[in-house]
Order: sequence, then C-alpha cells, then structure tokens
Amino acid sequence: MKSSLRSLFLKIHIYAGLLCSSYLLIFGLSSLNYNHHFGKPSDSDPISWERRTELANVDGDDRAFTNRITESLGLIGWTIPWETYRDEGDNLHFGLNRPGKKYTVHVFFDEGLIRVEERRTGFWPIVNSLHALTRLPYSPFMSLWGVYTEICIWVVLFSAGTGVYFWTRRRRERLVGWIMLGAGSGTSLLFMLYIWWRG
Amino acid sequence: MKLFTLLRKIHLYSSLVLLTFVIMYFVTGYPMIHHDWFANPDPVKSTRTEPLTYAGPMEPEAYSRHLQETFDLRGKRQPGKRMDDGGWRFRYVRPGTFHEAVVTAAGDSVRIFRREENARTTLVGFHRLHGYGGGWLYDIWVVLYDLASLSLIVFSLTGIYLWYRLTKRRLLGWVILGISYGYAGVTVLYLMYAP
Repeated sequence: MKSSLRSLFLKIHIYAGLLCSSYLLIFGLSSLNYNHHFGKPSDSDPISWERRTELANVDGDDRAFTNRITESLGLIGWTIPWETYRDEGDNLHFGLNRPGKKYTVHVFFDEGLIRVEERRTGFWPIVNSLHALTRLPYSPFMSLWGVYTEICIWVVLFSAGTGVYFWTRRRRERLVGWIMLGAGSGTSLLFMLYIWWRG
Repeated sequence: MKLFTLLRKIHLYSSLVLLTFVIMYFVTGYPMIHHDWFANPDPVKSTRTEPLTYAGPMEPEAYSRHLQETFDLRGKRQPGKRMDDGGWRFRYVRPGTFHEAVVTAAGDSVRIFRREENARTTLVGFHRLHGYGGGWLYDIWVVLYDLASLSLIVFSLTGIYLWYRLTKRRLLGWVILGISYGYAGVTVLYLMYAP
C-alpha cells in the first residue's frame, strides 16, 4: 500500500477515534451497567404544574391524542402505552418517558386543565439511554445523537480494520499478535458459532 | 517499559484479543437501530405437551435445569416465575431460539412453546445476551461481553494518550476532542435539565 494511503488511514484512525472517544466511553459504561446495574436511577421528589387548555376531548386514537398533548405542552419523550388510560369521567391520563425524566400527564377536559407530574431520574439512566439512542420525539437536537451513533459505528469498524493492518506492518509484533488474534478472537468466533449451533 | 510502549501494547493487544466480540456487537446492533432496513419474516412457532415427573427440590433453578436437560431446551435459563394458578413458567433464551415451558399446578405435565427466530432477530439475540446466571456457557459469554465493554473504555483512553504522544502538532486533535466531549457533555446536560 502506498505510504500516502497508509498515512491517510492512520490519520483517519487517530482523528476519527478522537471524535468518537466520548461515545465509546458512554458505550462501554452503559454496556457494563446492563450487566452489573451499578448506575441506579435517582429518586427525586416529583414536581407538579398545571396549564389551562382548550383542547377538546377526542375519542378514538388515544395514542395520537397523547402525542398532540405532548407537543402542545412543549415536552419531549415517548408515550407509555401501558400507562395510558381513561378514567370514569373520560379524562385522559398517560405516562411520558425520556432519558432523564418521567412525566405523568392528567388531562381534565371538563375543567380545561392539564396537570403534569414530573420526576428527574438522574445521570445514570441518561448514560444508559444514550447507548445507541437515535432519536427522541419532539427533540430535533437529539436526532444529532443518532447521526453521531451512525458515524461512530462506522469509525469503530474502520478502526478495527486499519488497526489490524497497522499491526501487520510491524514484523516484531506479528507472532505475538497472531497468537492473540488466534487465541482471543479466533476462539471467540468459534464460541459464538457454538452458542448459535448448540447453546 | 515506557508508558507509551505499555499503553500502545494494551491498545493493540486488547483489540486483537477482543476484535471478534467488539465487531460482533457493532454488527448485531445495527439491525436494532435500523430495523426497517432488514427483513423481519415471522418466526416459526411450535407447541407440544409432555408428561412430567419431577422429584427434585422445588427450587426454581433446579426445576428449570431439570426441564432443560429432560426436554433438550437449549438456551440461557431465565428466572422462573410462579403463576397465579400454582404452576411454573420457565424461559430459555439463545440467539435464534426461544423456549417457554409452562408446568401445570399439579406438576404432571409441561407445555413447551418453541420459537425459531429469523436472521435479524437472531443477530439481535446475540447483542442482547447479558446478565450472569443461566448456565456456565452463558456466564463465559457474559465475561467476554464485560471485557468487550471494558475494551471500549480502554481504546478510548489509551487512544487519547497515544495521539498526544505521537503527534507534535496537536491543535486539530484538541479541537476534535473538544467537539467530542463537549457535544457529549452538552447532550447529557440537556437531558438532565431540559424541561
């Protein structure tokens, strides 16, 4: 391979790696947390607030209706289907979640009132949620994280390939490297195949 | 050994040892974030009922293991659940196959539900296999999972040091690092404090 191309690959390996450095940290920490649950959500006191509304009650698709209400309140997040229900007075109640916060929204149509209870969940649920988060409803800013995710996936795959290539260029480390590659990655591959075939 | 040499060897050798696992996680995660891009045909499902004789301890893990060995229910054992009617439900998960065994309250028969997943769900199954317990084979898998997760942190931090020592003109690197950690920090703060 020409030295100019090698040099280009090395620069991409280094600088793209720096660009994705924070993402890899978050990825690694959140992955460990999935296994070991060391990052607990914090249990903050709920805060309630109310807003007047002129939204008329609409029967039918409660999911679409909750989305309209969420947008009208300027909130961001996903409606929780199993926390969505109507009470005896046909008032609508639903849960809304996003990384870092949980809401419970109560819509009282007769009174023209929306009451929101919100509770912050703290730092660790946010870190966990950033693990491959691609979008957050009603938050254009968080769509950028989806772009960052995509970039970092390809950077890691590219860096893995170029990293192996750079290693092969150094004679002194080839034997040790082949042993590591065979014992580690080769065994891992066989292990994956075994899990899939006979696990 | 100098620190640069040591960290370079750590960066290199940890990547060679864990290369397959790290790549596997990024490849299997891709269908999860772009699920619309991948075909998702219906799984193949089957159900059978078998007579059951069990004289062992009425302890969920032992009961689950007995069912697994008796009826060849391959997969990672999930915690058993006692049903309202007094029966038991046990699940066994592995990439590509899902089993559920429901034991009657009398304990004399078991209904076994099997689901053979499609390729996309099988890939996702590899990605989601975590948590210790459920069999020694899967504990080994989870150790490798932990090492792969740690390696991402190691690559990131050793990579920063290697860049710093390798390059003399560091302005571009500082700018890129600033963008990376600045953006991540702003995102975390946004989610912590946004209304």
